[in-house]
Amino acid sequence: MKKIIISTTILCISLFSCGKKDETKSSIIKTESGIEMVLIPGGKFIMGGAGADNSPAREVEISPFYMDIYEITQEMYKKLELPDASHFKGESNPVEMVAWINAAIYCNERSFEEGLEPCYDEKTWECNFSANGYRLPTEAEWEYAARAGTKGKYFFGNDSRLLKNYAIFKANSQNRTSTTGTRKPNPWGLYDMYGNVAEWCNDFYSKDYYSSAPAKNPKGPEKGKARVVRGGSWADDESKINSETRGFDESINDACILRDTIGFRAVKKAD
Amino acid sequence: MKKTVIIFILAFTVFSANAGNFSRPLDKSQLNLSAIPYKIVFESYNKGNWDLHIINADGTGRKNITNTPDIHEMYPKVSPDGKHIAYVADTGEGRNKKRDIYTLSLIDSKKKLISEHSRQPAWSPDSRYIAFVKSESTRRFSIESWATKGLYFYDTYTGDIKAHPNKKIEHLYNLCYAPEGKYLIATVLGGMGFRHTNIAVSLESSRFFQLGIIGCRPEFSPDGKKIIWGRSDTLFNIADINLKRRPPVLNKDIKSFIKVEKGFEIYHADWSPDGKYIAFAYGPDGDQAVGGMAPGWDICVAEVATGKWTKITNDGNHNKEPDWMPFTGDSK
Repeated sequence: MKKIIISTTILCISLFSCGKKDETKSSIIKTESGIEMVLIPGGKFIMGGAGADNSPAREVEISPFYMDIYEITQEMYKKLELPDASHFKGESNPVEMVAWINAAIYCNERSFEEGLEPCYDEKTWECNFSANGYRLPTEAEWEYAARAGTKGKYFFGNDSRLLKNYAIFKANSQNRTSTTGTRKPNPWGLYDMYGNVAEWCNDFYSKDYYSSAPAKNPKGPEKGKARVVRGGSWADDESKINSETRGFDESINDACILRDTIGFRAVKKAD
Repeated sequence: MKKTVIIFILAFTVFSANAGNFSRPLDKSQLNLSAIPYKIVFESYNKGNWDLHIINADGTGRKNITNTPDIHEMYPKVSPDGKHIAYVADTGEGRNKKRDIYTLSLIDSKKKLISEHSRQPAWSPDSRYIAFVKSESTRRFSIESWATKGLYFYDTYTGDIKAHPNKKIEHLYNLCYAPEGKYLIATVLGGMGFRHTNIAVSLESSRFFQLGIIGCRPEFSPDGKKIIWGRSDTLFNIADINLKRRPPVLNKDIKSFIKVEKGFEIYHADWSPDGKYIAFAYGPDGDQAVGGMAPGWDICVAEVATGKWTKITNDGNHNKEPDWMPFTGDSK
């Protein structure tokens, strides 16, 4: 069902892609589930940094996609009647204590709800990227969206003193999650890309992946024991709160090791 | 008295020797399993279907007691009087799967539906009540053990179901009655104000309190003086417990019992009726949840006094959730 209502505002933004300045427009849509997503324009960017597991930095091309403006809240999660084990209760707080598989299940349920083709095979958990339903972002999509056309460590520049304006993290979290969207968004209108909860990506984690990853729409290693998380959380200090630092976690399907620091947001293809 | 002292010394020696070290299953000949007068019932997966199997504690006499290719029977719990097995049965597939609680009579093999959309049955010490929780969502099936709401009690005398007075109970799993009958202990995840802990729930009021242990799936010894639980995927702990004390378990009383090497897991510990043995599931990294795939997992038996343990099944057919049953005398 393609009843996505192209709603409101057209945000005029500037996209800097590999030094190539490009004027583009990014539209916000409200899905049938009532969740706001923003169109992330396709383009190229420099992914990675100089760290042990995020180098070599290299040029990556990303196709356009839609991304949830906010982290999935407990209200959004429970609307689909999914069991919510969040530690820090609050309808507008991000869902946490959610295993990777349960994040994928949410995506499938949201797809079912809107009559879209689910992306995840619930026996193998492989993602069908050609399906029109919801899925978790690839790590490359997440970083591309977080950078929002910028090149620095942060999407607001390199002054870490400004981080408090954009992120819920250890220095200002009071040791818990916060209502989503209470800090400033990034240039593409995405809230809480840094902090509040770290966000599950679709990719398996491998510390060496960047050296062998394809240049267009990389999707992560085929196998692994941990999945990538990005953006850092309320519990992290500023060293983990930026566009390029990679994280990973093994709580893919194990209730005994669920984290109250990990949540997610969903994406869907744009074409 | 002398016997008690010797057992204590043996147990202390084993606990100390195991601390920090992992152990592997011994050859079956290292334990005198044929002397154990009890059977064990467990869940096993073969040819796409879960069934309940009964086996002697020495690994002989294995029998599939459900044999239903279109129904998945799991999580067996034997009534203390040995007359019934309460279990869960899954029907349907994928997101449309449904989990219900049934009982199976060990006298005439009759099955009885206890409650739909329900899971985690536990028998009261007098075999009259079956405590259980309901599935949190009926919109789509969740395999998560903690995906539950409420706490309920089925009266096998009258067929009535009563809800626990505390309406805020949620996300409980692995229910286990205290042998004195006044409390249930269980693990709670992401609910009732807790991130992940183990609690005792009063059966006479809406009160509940933490046990003071980290990990999951605590199980009482038959005399109610000890519990065993999974401190992690690879470690069972045993401790003294006193529900009249806060916290009921003191750190100084916690002992490491069995620890296995990384890459393997141990789950679902259960005390034998005489308190001398622990049955549990062991195998390579897998899904311990009811209905979760755990290829290579087998049922094991350990001596409480010595910590020695061995596998009593060897097919690795996702064998999990062992529960001791009083000897019924039909095949020993």
